[in-house]
Amino acid sequence: MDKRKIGFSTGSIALDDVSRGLDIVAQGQTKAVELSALREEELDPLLGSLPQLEDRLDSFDYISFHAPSNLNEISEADLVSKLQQVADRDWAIVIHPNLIHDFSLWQKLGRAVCIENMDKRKKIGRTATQLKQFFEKLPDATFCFDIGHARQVDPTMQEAESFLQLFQDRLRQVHMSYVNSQSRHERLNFESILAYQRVAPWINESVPIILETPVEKCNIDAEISSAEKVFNECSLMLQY
Amino acid sequence: MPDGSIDPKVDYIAQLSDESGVKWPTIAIANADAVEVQRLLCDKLSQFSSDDVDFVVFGSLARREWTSGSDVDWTMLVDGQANADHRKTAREINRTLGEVKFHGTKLKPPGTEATFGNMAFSHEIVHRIGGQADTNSNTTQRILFLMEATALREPGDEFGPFERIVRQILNRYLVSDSNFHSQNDIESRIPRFLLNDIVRYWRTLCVDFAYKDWEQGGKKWALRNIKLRTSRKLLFVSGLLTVFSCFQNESLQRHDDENSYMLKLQEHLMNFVHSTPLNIFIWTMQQLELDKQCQEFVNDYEKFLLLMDDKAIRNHLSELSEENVYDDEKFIDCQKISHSLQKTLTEICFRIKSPLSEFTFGYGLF
Repeated sequence: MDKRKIGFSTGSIALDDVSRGLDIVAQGQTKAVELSALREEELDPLLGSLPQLEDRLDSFDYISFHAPSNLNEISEADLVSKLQQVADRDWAIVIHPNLIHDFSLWQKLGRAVCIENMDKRKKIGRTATQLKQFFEKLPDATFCFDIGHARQVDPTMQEAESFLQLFQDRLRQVHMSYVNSQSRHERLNFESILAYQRVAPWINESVPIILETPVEKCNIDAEISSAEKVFNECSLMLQY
Repeated sequence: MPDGSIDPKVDYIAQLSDESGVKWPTIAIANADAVEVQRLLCDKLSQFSSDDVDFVVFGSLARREWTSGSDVDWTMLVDGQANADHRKTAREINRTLGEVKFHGTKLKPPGTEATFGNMAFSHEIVHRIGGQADTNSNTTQRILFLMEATALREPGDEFGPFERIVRQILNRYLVSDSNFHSQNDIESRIPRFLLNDIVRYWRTLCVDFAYKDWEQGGKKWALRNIKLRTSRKLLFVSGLLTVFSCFQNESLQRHDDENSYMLKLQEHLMNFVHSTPLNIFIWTMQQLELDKQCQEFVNDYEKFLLLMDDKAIRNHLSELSEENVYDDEKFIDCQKISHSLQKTLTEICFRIKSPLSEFTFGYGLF
């Protein structure tokens, strides 16, 4: 039986209410969590609340931090400066490649920078070739593999395998959900589990899985079971 | 016997020309012009592309064999939510295309069969392989997506619906091929399902040649006949060679699990999708060290393209009636080129003992 760490993004289960998200996640058997500040206005409140959250975060073996996906009010330099305190905790800072323009700024955050591959709407970061350019300029950066984005870009999972082959040494965490044609995150379903099983052998057991699926509190354990099927029920794939 | 995979970024024709010292100016110009027309169309039509819609071109434009008589065979490939506005977009593409000029001349729209100049939907292309619903048009689009098509997208933004769909077509051919399941040895496998569809398409082309003659009362018979014997035949040969590239290919041996093996094979085949028929031919001949036959073939193809680029000859062939062709000097010239091409193909596929002849005997007919 696979013993990997499967957890949730607080954003997927409680939107901007990280505290509530933590409460919900803590009720399940999860050892991993991603604190989400996906919207720019969520950044300062989350950073400010980290000292108060520390006791509750102690129960997690793995913690990451999702930086905002768009910037309108603050500059790139300000963002990096604010994120320094997260890097100091040695947490992964999940960042979308379209926000990275001045590479020298991000180099300061070292291996805390965890670049995520994008869905089909984005012009950059959708393919392994596109993402490679970022890692060449940020050699210490790590990789957040969004398997749902990779499947949406290429349902045959050839591109997913390319990501995992090329960035195996950098792989720090996996985002998992079913990403629909409108680029919305949905709960894992038969179709997505089948596709993810094709590349599951590439994902080492030590790599945490962060579920980005929008689930109610009552479905947390069921969703984790779905994620476990990706790694434990490879026979499903062979039947199809 | 082929080892490794073709590199779709390499211009093997130019490379061969440099190495052999032989010039093929018509092929070189046809290639450069095709690239220029593709860029021109991309500038004008990228406004219609999105992550759900691609503007895909076929034929001589995609093969990079653009001559003065070439038309723009295109389709609007939709891989997204159903939307009634797609029809309006297709009409607008048609209108915009009608205004684009190259070298001062308006580009020619596609022919009258309605296979091109229209919309194509990913679900039909991926799911309807074989069976009643796999229409002539669906088969044509699917096979041409693999053998002579390219999506016009901005540099750096190449990964769109076309790339996504082509991978899925290949995935269908591999996943649904029993040849890839339950075999324990490590030898690379021939994608037979794909091979059968390529052969079926070639035979369909030949049957449709007679059909068009019947339907159109012999219109453009001579021109269509010469194209069938040359560029269409090369297209088929490149499909055959794409499958042959998997034959006893050491780099494609099965050392991985079934899924990884199929993804490796899919990636290998994608390199051929991104190349052109003439490049595929040259790459294969180099693998087999059949340099003499390779040059002879390219020499003949140069002659063919030169004739196709001559407006007077092309118009003459378009007007020539079937009854008069065998007394016509120009047609006879074209026919000689096609016979010479066939002679080379017969040699490399049957007469010269090589892995290709072994493959042709083993898989070409039965």
